[in-house]
Amino acid sequence: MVRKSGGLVLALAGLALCLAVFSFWYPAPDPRELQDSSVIDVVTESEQEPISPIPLEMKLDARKVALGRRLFFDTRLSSDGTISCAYCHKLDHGGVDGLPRSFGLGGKEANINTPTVFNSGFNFRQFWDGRAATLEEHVDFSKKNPCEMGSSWDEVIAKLGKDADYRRDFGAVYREGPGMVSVKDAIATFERSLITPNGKFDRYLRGDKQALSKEELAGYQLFKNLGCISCHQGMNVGGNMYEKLGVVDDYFAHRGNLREADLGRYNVTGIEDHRYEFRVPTLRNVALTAPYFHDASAVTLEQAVAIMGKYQLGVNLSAEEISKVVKFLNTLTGVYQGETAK
Amino acid sequence: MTGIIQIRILRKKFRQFILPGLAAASLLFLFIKAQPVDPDTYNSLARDLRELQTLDIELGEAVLQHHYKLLHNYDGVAAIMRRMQTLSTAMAKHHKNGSLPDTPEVIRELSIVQQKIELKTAALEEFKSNNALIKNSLIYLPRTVDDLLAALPHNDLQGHEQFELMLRYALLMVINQDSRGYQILKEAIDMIGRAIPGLPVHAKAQANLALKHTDIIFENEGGMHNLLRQLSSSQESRVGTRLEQLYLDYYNEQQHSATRYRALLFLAAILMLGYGIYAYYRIREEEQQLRIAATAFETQEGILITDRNHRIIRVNSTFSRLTGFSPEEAIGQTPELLKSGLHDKEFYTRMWEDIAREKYWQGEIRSRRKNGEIYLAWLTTTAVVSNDDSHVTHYVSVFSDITLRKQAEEQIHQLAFYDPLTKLPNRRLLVDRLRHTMTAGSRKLDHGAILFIDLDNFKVLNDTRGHDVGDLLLIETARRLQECVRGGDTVARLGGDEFIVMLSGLDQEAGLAAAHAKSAGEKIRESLGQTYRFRDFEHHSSCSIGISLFRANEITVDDLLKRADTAMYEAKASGRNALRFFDPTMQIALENRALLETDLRRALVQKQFKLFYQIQVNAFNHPIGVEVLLRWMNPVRGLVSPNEFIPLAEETGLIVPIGLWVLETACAQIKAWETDPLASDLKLAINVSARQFHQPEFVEQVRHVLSNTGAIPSRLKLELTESVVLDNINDTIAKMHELKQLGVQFSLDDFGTGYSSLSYLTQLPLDQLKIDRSFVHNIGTKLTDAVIVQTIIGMGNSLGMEVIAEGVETDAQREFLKHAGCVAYQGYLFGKPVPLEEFEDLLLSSSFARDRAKA
Repeated sequence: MVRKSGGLVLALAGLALCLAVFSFWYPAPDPRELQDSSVIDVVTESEQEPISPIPLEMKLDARKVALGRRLFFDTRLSSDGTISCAYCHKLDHGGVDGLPRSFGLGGKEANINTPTVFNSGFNFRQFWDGRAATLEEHVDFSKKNPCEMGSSWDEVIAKLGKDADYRRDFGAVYREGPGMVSVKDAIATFERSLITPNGKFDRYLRGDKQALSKEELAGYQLFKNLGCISCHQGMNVGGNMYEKLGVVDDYFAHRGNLREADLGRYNVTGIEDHRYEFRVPTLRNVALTAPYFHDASAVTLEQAVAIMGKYQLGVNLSAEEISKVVKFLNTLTGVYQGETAK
Repeated sequence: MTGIIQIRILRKKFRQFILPGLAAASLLFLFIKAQPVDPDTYNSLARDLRELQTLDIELGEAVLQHHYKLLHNYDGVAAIMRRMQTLSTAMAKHHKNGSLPDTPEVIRELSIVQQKIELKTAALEEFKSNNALIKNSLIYLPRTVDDLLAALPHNDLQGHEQFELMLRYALLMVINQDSRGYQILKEAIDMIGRAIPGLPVHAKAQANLALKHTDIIFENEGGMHNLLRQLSSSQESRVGTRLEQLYLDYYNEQQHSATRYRALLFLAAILMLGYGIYAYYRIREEEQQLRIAATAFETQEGILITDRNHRIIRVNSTFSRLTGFSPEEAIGQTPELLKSGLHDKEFYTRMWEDIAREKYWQGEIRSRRKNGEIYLAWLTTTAVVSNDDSHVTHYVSVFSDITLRKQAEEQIHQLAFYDPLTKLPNRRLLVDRLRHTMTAGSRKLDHGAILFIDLDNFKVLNDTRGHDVGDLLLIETARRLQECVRGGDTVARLGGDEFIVMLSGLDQEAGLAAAHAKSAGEKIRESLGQTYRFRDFEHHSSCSIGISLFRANEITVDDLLKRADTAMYEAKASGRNALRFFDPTMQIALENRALLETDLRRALVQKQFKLFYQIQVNAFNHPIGVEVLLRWMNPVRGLVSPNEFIPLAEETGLIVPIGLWVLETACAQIKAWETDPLASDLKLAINVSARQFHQPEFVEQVRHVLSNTGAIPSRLKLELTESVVLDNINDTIAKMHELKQLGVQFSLDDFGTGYSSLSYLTQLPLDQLKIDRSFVHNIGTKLTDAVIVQTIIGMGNSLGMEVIAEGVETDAQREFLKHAGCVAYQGYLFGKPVPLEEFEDLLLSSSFARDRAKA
């Protein structure tokens, strides 16, 4: 009895001493020593150009990218097993399907033109109306949209969970295995890898002054002079702000047949000022992503440029001007996986 | 009661578990409290806060730069905003995981931060859109105005000037952020609006466009000031400053409290260390005690310790030595292991009841060793109770093997109080019990009885069959005696063949008590008279019983025993196999006997003995011999019968000198008769007692007397009784042969009454068998005796021995004997024992008669 309690007392005393000594040794941070953390360098326009080149490569987990690629092409993500991400975002077609509006589950037509998946990681938000802040959210929306994949996560995870390969490969990367978070993360990571660097124009930006022809360079100057650059700037030549369609002239009044999708950002925020506001689309690879605008109203780039001039700038661009600008726009086509994007 | 116990148990539990638990818990509490804020947490939180504020400032700067068209790329601000949103989420996370204090102020501040960021996000989006529009409109407005002016009629100089100045001026003002510019712009818009209807068609479109652009500028620039204010990090819109202050306050408070707790923890540690050292020394002291206890544990007594459920938890080496069970075999078992099975259930129940009540039990218990051997243990079991006396925690049993001690005790007791042969109480115990019975007890008025039992002829059996057989007889006798009495009565052996039976509580009335005692005595006599069956033969015995009644305190124990002894002698004297009561007349007779003895001693000196002679004749009435018979002529008593004094002489040893006198006198008579023609042929027969015969110098005496007197040895005939012969058969045979060589003749007296058997009869150098007078007396009346007489005669003749019958009183007897082949007679028919003078006369007369017959 005494032996036992004596041991207990000694043990407690030892513990107390250890704790005391440890707590004295324990380093307390000094607020004064805290170093200023690095902040984002805002001045990215060292070359004084409003457009910056796409990074040559992204530092991403190759395993996640590989998993994401498999999921991207996996039709099991849709409820009836017919539609994958790649169904609309064709990687050999500028990241779009070339249709005015894609067909989703059961042949249902979507209400808006499909934006390209290429370089989507550089967009400040996703979708025409910017309702998704990230690519992960975008996956969520697309999964649930009955016009797109129309399935639920439970359904998808159950289906994927039956696949031994997925279980093995997910298990290697994600502790949870195939699940909602990991599937979204894998797909988004893969999408972030879908970049098209090293296009003609990027090469020009990176200092290769010979990369652009005289006409193309003139097109770029015109692009800037016309004020296109006010919205189509940044790395993605767009994709980092909202703007109203029909600034100078009423686009929708002229086009007619107003539909819900035409309301744009208003559908998300419900704010009157946001009516007809859309995310300014990227012009990267724009030559590959016809038809244009959310309503696919322009079939050719020339048409699109003309519409933009008329409604956004209030100018009727001449054929020559249009041609110049289009020439420049063509230099925005980049390289995907070592080949010029198609 | 149970309440108190419960409180005690609680207190014990408190000491045992709760107190150390509380100590450990409070230590842990102090330790946790003594921890300063984790530096990583602090760093990340503070860095985030700092970054948030930095970003806020940078955002404001970048937006201003965009406004003044110094920047053309929104990626930067978008990135800042994204980062700010991320940090806002991080703040919520910090709060959620406890890095930020959960105070209402902090919560409010967090929501303000979030709100501000949301507002800034919205403002930034609006700013980007608006800024782009203004930017483009500012590009296109001058162009449009130029186009408008070009479209105006050249003669309208005033209009030219008006439009140009006002619009350009207005633009300048806008760019300069002058509030007056808006006013001018507004006026310009109004002016254009008013002017348009009056313009030529061509100019009208341009005017409308100019109006549109101006409108865009006006519309967007109007809110721009507000947006810029929202996005700048002005005092009221700054993000996270207050939060940082709150956090720093919280942090400092944390550090201070940690320091205080650390001091407390250190104090607790010092206290506990002190107690630990104290406990250490106490443990050492306890260990010392334990070592002493362990040494004491290994004693010469077996020790076993069980837990409260009677499971053996420890034994010492003596335990193993005594029981044969090793510690491994014993531990975990119950003491049932050692149960002998010799005690009933009640014994154990009582024992455990005692232990439960007294916490202690001591006593003898029969126990079993591993090898099955039963032994007697002296066991002491003590219950060990818990500190608070509430319950038994262990039982400690100490025991020793007392088998040997017990045996020794019993042996001593047996030796002291019991006869080792028969296991009956000895004299000492008997006396003790008698004393007890006589002095105490409620049955004082009852008579008790003492039966003094003596086996008849025990000596004979002992001598003929050996002491082993004698012992068997005694054992059997003891057994039979015990069978005959009641449980409360005592059977004791005084020694030899003497037994005492003590009967108590018979009756108050002496007569009835005597009757009870008599019936008990008769029962005993009958039982002891039954045939004894030994290994290879049967034996008949009888006993003589003397009975004396007693009542408490009327008589001493010694006197009582004497009386019973006396009564037994009376029974013996009455012919054995009898039962006699002691009474006062017996006592008187006993005293007479003592007087007789005194007289007897004097008689030899004073020559009071006389020899009487009884004639022995043959078939023709011729005297052939004479038996010499001793007579005592006392001056006071007169003639004393030999039956009266011979046993006394035997007993006192006087028989030896008396016998010698007889021998000498007889031999002298032989010598004297040598010359007497009438008596010279006669053989003189004298009786030799056992005591006389067995004295070592007897043969020498005879030889000496013969030579002294000069008597012819062949004329001397020694008459021995069977008892003399059987007393010591080897000695007898040796002496007879020696005497025979001298020429002395032998006659076996009283033949037929003893237990003579042919086996030794043939070994003895006998010349004559003498048929006992009892047989002769019964001739003609008792057929069996007649047959015995015939048998004896036949046997004697066939062995070549002379057969003489004594006690012949009638002619019929003589005729029968003569017919049976006996040709020598003695008895009243021929002559009574008479003094010498008379005998010689008789010889003379018989000689006459013979002569007469011859003649």
